[in-house]
Amino acid sequence: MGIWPRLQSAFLVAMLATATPLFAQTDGKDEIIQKLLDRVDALEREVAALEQAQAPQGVQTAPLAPPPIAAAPEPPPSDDSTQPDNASRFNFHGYADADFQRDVDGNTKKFELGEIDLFGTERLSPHLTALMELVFETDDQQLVASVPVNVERLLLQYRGNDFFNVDIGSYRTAIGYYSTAYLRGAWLQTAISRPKMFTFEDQGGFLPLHAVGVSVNGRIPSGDLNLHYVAEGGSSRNYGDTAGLAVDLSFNRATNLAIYSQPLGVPGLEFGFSTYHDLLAPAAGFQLDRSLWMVHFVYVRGRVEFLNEGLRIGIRDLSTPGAATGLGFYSQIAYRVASSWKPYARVEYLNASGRGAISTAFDRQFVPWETVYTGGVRHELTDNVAVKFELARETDYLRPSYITAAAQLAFTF
Amino acid sequence: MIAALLAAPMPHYAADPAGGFAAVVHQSNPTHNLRFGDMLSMFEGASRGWANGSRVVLVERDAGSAPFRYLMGHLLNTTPGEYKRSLQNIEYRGDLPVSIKVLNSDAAACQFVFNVPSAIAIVEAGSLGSRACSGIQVLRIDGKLPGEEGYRLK
Repeated sequence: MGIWPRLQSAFLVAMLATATPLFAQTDGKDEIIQKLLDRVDALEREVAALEQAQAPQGVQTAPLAPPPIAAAPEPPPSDDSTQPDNASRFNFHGYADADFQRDVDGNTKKFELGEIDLFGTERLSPHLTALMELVFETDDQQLVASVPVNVERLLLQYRGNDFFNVDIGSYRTAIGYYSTAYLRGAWLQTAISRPKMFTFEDQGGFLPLHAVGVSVNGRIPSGDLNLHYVAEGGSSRNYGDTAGLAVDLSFNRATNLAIYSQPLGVPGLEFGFSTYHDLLAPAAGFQLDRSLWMVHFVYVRGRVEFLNEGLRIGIRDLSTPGAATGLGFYSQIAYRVASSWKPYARVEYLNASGRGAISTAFDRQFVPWETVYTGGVRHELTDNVAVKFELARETDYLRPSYITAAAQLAFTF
Repeated sequence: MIAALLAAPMPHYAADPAGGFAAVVHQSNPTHNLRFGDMLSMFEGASRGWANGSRVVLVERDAGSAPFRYLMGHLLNTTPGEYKRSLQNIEYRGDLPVSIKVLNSDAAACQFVFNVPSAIAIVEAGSLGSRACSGIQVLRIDGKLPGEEGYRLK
């Protein structure tokens, strides 16, 4: 063994020995662990490189830090034997998909690029993290050289402890389950299509899935019930703003409170509710007061994925007499068979009605669908690539029922 | 055919070593006994802290190794692809990423646990006798140690 590996080993042992008392301190503990992990990685690489350089000269492999590894019959960890861990300060994931769709009229059959979702986090300090998510909406591009870019999320996150965390910036509203679990990234979600009620705002969706402001979240001391809360205040994106009809209210008072439970006795189960209120202007001349209640009951574990959400939305016109309500739900079940096939099925229903200036007919211009039945299968080609096939039958108020079909290749990188 | 598919075992996961498996942690870890469900929650990423407040570092063996196959097929009842998806989903929801170190031998896993006070690894129980695993603590699972009647990691 050369002098450098010995020095490195001695330094590592000394560093660990001096660092151990520090772990008794709560503050900064994670940072110390992280630094140790980084340092161990770096030393492993250096030792491996030195060993490799000296190997032809017949020098025997030596221990890294503690003596036990010297006698181990298996090789010590090196860069060749370890995979990169995900505990580094910067984490990046990308998601993309390519699709083939048979559209509403049955005549439109085309390949198209889906979205390119770039998601990254940077740990700035033990308690501060920056999060950014950019989406290239290639599925919405009008011209070859004109791809809409959407800053999906941009957050400065303060992670105080399990009970108090703060996100400041552009966040996704914690309404229901699906919106926070699968906001973007086709590879992350089992199905090709999202539940219809969670259609994005810029594609005609009526739920406020994004907002800019402050979100406070954490656990509530509740024993095995394991309650969590999310309290949000900010300004939501305006409904229908890509239709050119929007009149932004300068202050739309978007508030949201969500409470949910993840019982310790039933891992994978989550149920809860959220209540959201804001002002919005979907079209010129309207100033609407919107209230939204959602409940969810979800079980995701092992082979099973069982998602259920219900909503009640109420809208009141502040300038003219008129109000509208909507009741809806979706239920999705998926079950992995064999090792890599996951068939799924989903049923959705929404009934919107109104009176006065927000008549039922007016409502249905914005939310025309009534029921959607969806079925499909997801197959994992590799750990990073999935292919999906899906059929859906949609019943609308404004046109005859129709069937859509789609195939998707979704991957992460 | 549907019934056969539903009942089909995951083909990648072959027979496990006769001695079973063990969950090992740093000698200084004040947790000496872990509920089986709590251990699963740690490896699922749902639970990421020890009782003393330190952050859990998961140590996993390489894909294809017996401990990894046991973790995927028996403990978590998932596949490497779905496991990766669920861990990324945690991070995507805005939570801190799960800390994972993947190592290619039980000796390396034990050595890592020896060095990192908040790490937990699942290794073959047969490896516990090696010198590499001598300086670490074997956790009781639901009060049982490997080899005892009713031990669940086998």
